Amino acid sequence: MVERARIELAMAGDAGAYEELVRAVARPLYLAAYRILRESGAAEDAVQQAFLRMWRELPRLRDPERFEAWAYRLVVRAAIDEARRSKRQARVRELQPAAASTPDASAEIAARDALDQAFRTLSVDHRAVVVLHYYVGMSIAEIAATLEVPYGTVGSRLHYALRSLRAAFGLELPQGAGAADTGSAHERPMRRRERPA
Amino acid sequence: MSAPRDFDRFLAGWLAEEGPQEVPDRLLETLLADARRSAPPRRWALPVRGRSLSREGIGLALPATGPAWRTWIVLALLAALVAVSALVAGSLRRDPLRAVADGTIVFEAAGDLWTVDPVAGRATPLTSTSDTDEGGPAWSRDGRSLAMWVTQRGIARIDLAVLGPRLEVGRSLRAPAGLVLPPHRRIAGWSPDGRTIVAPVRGTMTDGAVTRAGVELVAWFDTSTGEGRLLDLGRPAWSFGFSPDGAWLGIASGSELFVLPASAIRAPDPAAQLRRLASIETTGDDINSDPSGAWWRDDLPPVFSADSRAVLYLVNGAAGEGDLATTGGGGLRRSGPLRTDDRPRDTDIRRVSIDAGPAADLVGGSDNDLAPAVSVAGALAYLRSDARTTSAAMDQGGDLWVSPAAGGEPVQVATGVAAGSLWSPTGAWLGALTVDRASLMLLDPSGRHSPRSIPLPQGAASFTWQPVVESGT
Repeated sequence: MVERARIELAMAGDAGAYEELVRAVARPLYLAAYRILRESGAAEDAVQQAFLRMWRELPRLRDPERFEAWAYRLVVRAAIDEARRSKRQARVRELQPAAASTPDASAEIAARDALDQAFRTLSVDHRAVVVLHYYVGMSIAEIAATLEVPYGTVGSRLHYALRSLRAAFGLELPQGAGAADTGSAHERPMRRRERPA
Repeated sequence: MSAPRDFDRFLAGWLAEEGPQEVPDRLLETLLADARRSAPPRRWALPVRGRSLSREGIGLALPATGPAWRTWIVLALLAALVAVSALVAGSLRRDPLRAVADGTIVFEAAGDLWTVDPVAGRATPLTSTSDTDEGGPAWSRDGRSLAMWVTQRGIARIDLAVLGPRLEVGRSLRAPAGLVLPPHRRIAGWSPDGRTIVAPVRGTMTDGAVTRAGVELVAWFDTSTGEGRLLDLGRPAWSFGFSPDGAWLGIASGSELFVLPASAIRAPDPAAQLRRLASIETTGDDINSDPSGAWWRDDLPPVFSADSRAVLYLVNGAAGEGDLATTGGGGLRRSGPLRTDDRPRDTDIRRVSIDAGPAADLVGGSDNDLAPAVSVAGALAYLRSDARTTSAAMDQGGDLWVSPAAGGEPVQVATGVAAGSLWSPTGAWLGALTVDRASLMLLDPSGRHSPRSIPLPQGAASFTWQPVVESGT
C-alpha cells in the first residue's frame, strides 16, 4: 500500500513524492495492463496514458485512501481505450518461450494456448474484469467501486467471460457461478492482491 | 486436449505466470522522466488559507549572507507582501455574501466551500479550514439552510448551516449506529419541507445466506432532532433525489430505477411501498458496460420532470444497432442484436412516468446525450457529445443543448462544456463548467444577455444554486 503521506505530498505538488509514487505503482499497473491487452507495446502505451492522466488529476483526488483503486481505474480505462484504438491496426501476437516438451507439458501448453486464444476473443471490458478479479485479486464489490459500475454489471461481465473461457474447454459454467447478485462463487479472490509497494 | 480440473485455479495461474513479471526498464525510465519533467500542478490556494509562502513559492532568492541594506530591502519587500496579503484576506473575509437576484451558487474546491459572486465575477472562499474537508453543499428548498458534507480525520458528518454574513453551523448529523457516512464529496438531499435529509451511508446487508459489508444504503435524518435511521429498502441504493413537489424520492439501485412515496420514508416498512419504474435487462451481452456508469453514479441522482410526474435517466446502447425498446411494464428490452465489443456507445436520455407507464426516449440520436437538468419551468438542458464512449464524453465534455419547456426545436447554447449544467432557481440562467474546469459560464438560454465567465479554483465541483429566499417569510 502506498503511504498516505506520500500520496498527499504528491497531491500537493512535491516532485520527489510523485516520483516515488510512480516507482511504487508502475509495476502492478503495467502487469495488469499487459494481462488485459496481452501485448506489451499496447500495455506500455496504456500505462503512459494512465500516468499522464494521473499527473493531471492527482491534485483533484479527494480521498488519498482511494488512490490505489483510482490508479487501477485509470489504467483499466486507458487499456480499454488502447484496445479500441488498436483494433484497427494489425495485431502482432507475442509468443511466449516454450517450456521443455514432455507429454504432460505438451498438454499443459495446449491448454494454456487454448485459454490464451479464448481470452483474446473476450471484449476488453470483460478481460478487465477477469484480470482485476483473478490476477489483481479484487472482489466484485471492489471492482464495481474501482470501475464505477454497478455490482451486478461486474457480476454479469464475469459470468459471460467465464462462460466463454470455459466453453473453449467444453466446460459448462457451474450453477450460480459469476452471478454476483445471488452470491458469487468468485466472491473470494483467487490470488492474493498485489498492492503497490 | 483435456479440460483443467480446477478451471478457476488454472485461470488464475495462467494470468499470474503468462506474461512479464516486471515493468520494462525503458518504460519505467520514461515514466520517471515524465515525472521529473512534470510534477503535478500545485493545489490552488489563497494566502488567506493560512499557508505560508515558501521561498520557492514566491521566487525570491534570499541571500544567506550579504550586506545589511540588502537584507533590509528583502525584509521590506516581504513585509509589503504580507501587508497586501492581509488586506486581500481581510477584504475577502469582510465581503458580504451577496445573494444576487438569482441566488448564491456554492461549490466545493480543495476541501473548502466557495461561493460565486456573479456580480463581481469571482469566486470567494466560504470556509478556510485546514483540518477538515468540507464538500457536497446542498441548499434546502427554502434557500435558508445549507447542508455540507464534512470529513475530519476520515470521519464524516453532515453539518447544517445558515448562510448570513458568515456561515453559522447549527446542527451536525452523525451516522446512525451500525452505519457509516462515507468520507468526502457526498451530497445529502433535503425534503422540500426541510424536515428530512436523506444521505448515502454504508452498512451491511443480508441477502439470503450472504451478508455483504460496505453496501451503499440510504439513511434519513430528522433535521429538528438530529436523529438518523436507516431507510430500509431491502436493496442497495446508488443515488437518489426528491421530486420538485416533494412527494417522491427517486432511487437508483443496481440496474433498476424506483420511486418511493416521501410519506413512506418514516413508515415501518418502506420497501413495501417501493415502485419499480424501469430495469435494464443484462441477459446476453452486457449493455451497461461503459466504465463511467450512467445514472448509477453517485453524483447523478435521478432527475424528475418539473411536474414531478416522470423521471429521466440514461441508457447506454450501441450506436446504430440494437436499439432499446420498452416492454409493457416499463422495463427495457433489446429489440435487436447488440454487440458491445468495440462499438461506440450511444447514451440517450429516457423518460418514464412514475405511474410506471412505458418508458420513451426523450433525447435520442446517435450521439451521447448526457446529464439532463430540468428547469423549474420544465426546460431540459443536456450535454451532447460525439465521443466514442460515454466515459470519454464525460471526460471531454460536449455541447450544451436546451429543449424549450414550451416545445419546439432544441437549441445549442454552448460548446466545450464539462459534466453538465445547473439551472438557476428561476430558470433564467444556466451555469456550466468549461471543459478545462477552470471557469463557470453563466448563460442566458434566451440569448438576451451575454454569457459571463467566472474563474474557478482548481478542482471546483458539486455546484448548488440557492433557491430564491422569499422576503418576509
